Amino acid sequence: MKNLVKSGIKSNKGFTLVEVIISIGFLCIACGIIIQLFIASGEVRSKAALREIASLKAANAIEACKISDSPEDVGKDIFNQASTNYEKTETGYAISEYFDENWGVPQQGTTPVYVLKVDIAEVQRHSDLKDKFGDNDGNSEVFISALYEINVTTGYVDTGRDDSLLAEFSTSRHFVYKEIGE
Amino acid sequence: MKIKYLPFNKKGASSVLVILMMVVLIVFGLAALTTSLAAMRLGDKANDWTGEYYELEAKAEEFLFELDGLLVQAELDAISYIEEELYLENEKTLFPDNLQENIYNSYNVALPEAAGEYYLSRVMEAAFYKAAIDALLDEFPRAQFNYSGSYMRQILEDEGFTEITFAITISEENSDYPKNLDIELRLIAPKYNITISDNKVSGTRTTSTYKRYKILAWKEWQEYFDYSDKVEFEDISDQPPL
Repeated sequence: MKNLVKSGIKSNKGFTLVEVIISIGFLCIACGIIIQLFIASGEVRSKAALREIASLKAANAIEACKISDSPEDVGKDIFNQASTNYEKTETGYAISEYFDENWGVPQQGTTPVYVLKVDIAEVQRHSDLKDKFGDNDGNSEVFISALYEINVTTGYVDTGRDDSLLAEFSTSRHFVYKEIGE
Repeated sequence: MKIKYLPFNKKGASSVLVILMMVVLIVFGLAALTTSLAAMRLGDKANDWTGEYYELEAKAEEFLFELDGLLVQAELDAISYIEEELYLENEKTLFPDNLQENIYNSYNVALPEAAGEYYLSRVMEAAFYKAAIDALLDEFPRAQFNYSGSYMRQILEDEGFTEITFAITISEENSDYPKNLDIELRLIAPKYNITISDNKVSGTRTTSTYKRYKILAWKEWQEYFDYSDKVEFEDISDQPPL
């Protein structure tokens, strides 16, 4: 005991309750800040990952438009038909593909979380060219050459959110395809 | 008894450890946050780049549409040329005089009907290419054309495959790093099965080739540029972490 006293601990007196409370308070604040840093980092990282997936899905949809022979065929081989709605609009097509929270096919009875929307609209068309001349029997095919605008968005199904839009790309596509004419 | 003093005082060592741990945790937390923000910035930049690429592609597709419009008109001209028998009229010919005379003579010699039909399909192909090249040279003077000067004779005399290609560069100047797209195309003449009956010429397009051009090359490129090493804090503040 004598040695201990000599070596520096001159008193057995501990910290007062106020000192302990203050130091624990400081410790809690510091820990809170650190935890907040990690939480914020995790949230930013998951948001970045979500945007990346959304952007990839949107780019895939545009590529699907590019490999299609006609606007009617867009996504028929790419999108999951069970979770996709096709709607004919005045100038083209509106396609919506739905996903669950893991970007998979939503189970029946569950609410989808994300949606991929593809709007294909004809903006210009060259004069229709029939596949026959000289002897038109009235049942010829028509070769369509048209320019379509394609707008692809990926986002939350819940459009009320501030961040409901995750990715958006626009492009155009020149389609040449045939239709049965008059 | 000799008193032994420790080399340093242990008083407050636990506090130092706790503070050190706090500092280390804060550094780790800040590093994780910075990395996440950097990942987000990178993702946003990749998004912008992809968006600009699709804008450039939109311009290229508009060009293809415009080009196809000229080729549609060339096809209509070729149809009229055959349908209205303009190849028999020297003043309305699409071809140079001597070629026109050859066509006229070839067609007027007593060819069997099937041979006449085949020959007319060659005339129609040559007429399409002639109308197309005239229109394209007029519309896209900066494009680089590649074809033989005697392509009409080659087609009419059936001397094998005639390839007419041309290359053009589409540029997008609106972004920070302007992008360019080199496109090389080959013109494809529409194929028609031509029939002559009761002195009337008619044609049916073969469905296998209803496109009038084929894309041979589609190459995107950028001029050399240096990345700025300036740290842009504004970007980070634009993206709040929460």
